[in-house]
Formats: sequence, C-alpha cells, structure tokens
Amino acid sequence: MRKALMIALLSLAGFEANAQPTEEALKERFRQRLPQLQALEDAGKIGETTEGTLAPVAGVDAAAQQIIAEENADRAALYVHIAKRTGEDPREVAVQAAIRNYREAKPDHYLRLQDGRWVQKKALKGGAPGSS
Amino acid sequence: MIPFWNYSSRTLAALLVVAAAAFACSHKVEVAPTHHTIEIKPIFLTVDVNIRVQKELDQFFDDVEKPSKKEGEGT
Repeated sequence: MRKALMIALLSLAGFEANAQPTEEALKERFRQRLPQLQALEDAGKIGETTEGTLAPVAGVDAAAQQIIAEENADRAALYVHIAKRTGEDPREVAVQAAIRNYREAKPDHYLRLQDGRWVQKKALKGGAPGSS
Repeated sequence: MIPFWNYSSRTLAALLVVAAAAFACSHKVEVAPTHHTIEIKPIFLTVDVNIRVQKELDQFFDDVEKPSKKEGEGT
C-alpha cells in the first residue's frame, strides 16, 4: 500500500515537472494577452529584444512586469515546441522569432539593439533584418 | 665601339623598334583586394533567416494576431 502510494506520488511529481503547455493552450494565452501588450507597446513602455523576448523600455508598474514575465515564459515554451518540430535549437528559434518581431513591429514601436540601446523602428536605417 | 650618332639610320630604326617592343611587353600586375567591406545592419551582427522556422512562427502567430492586426503594422 505504502509502495503504491509512493509510486503514485512520484508519478504525479514527474508529470508536474514535465508539464508543458500545448501549442493550442499557448495560442489562447497569447491571444488573451495581446490587447494589453499592444497597448503597452503603442505607449512605448515595452519593446522587443534580439532574444525574442519582451522587455520594459523604461520603468513599468508591477502589473506590466507580471504580464511581460508571463509572455516571455510562454514564448520560451513555444520556442521549445518549434525547436522540437524543426530540429533546431530553441535559442535559434528565439533569434528567428526576434527577426519576425522586428519585421512585424509598427514604426513607433521600440526595438532593443545588441548594444542595449532602445530605438524606434522608424529610426533604423535600412529597416529591420529579414524585411527585404 | 661605334658611338650611336655614327649609326646608320637603318640601325637606329632597328634599335627604336626593339626598344618600343620592350616597352610594349611590359605589364602591370594588380593584386586583387583580400578584404571586402560588408555593411552590418544595426541590430544583428549576422542575420541568418531560417525559412522553415519563420514559416512555423508565421503559422502560429497568424492565428493569434489575425483578429487584432491594425493598419500600419509590419511597415
């Protein structure tokens, strides 16, 4: 009895440790978060990084920090899904996502350069990479 | 040795032809440049677009972004 209980607990722990949101679940969470993130991006409070993540451009409140953290966690999970399917490294998928994010950004949105500076997309000479 | 001013006009003409031929045969060797200037975009040092991954990302985010895409996006 004790052994069976132990096995059940270990199985549950293993299941929890390996719990990875499905792509459909991720899609739904991205969809729900999108209006808030767009409002923050339009206001110039957050921007895209070269690592395929979101980051605050200047100081943001706790609620914005929370939503950034949730978005980045879900993006990381998505990059793992796509990496598995394409045989790429998740870091490579993240870089490709950054290229896409920069390409899709609106002219007023902020993008972080590799040296850490934030610039608006419209200020970049030659446009975003991958846009040609 | 006979001084050149005492050469016959035929000999002088022959010498001029030989000198002209020597100049005509000389050539200049140009060395091709070993370095090329490459324009580096301001965001990424190297940009390697992975078409397959881009397609996967597009398919995924098209479903997410489609209802809320706004005018002016992606310009």
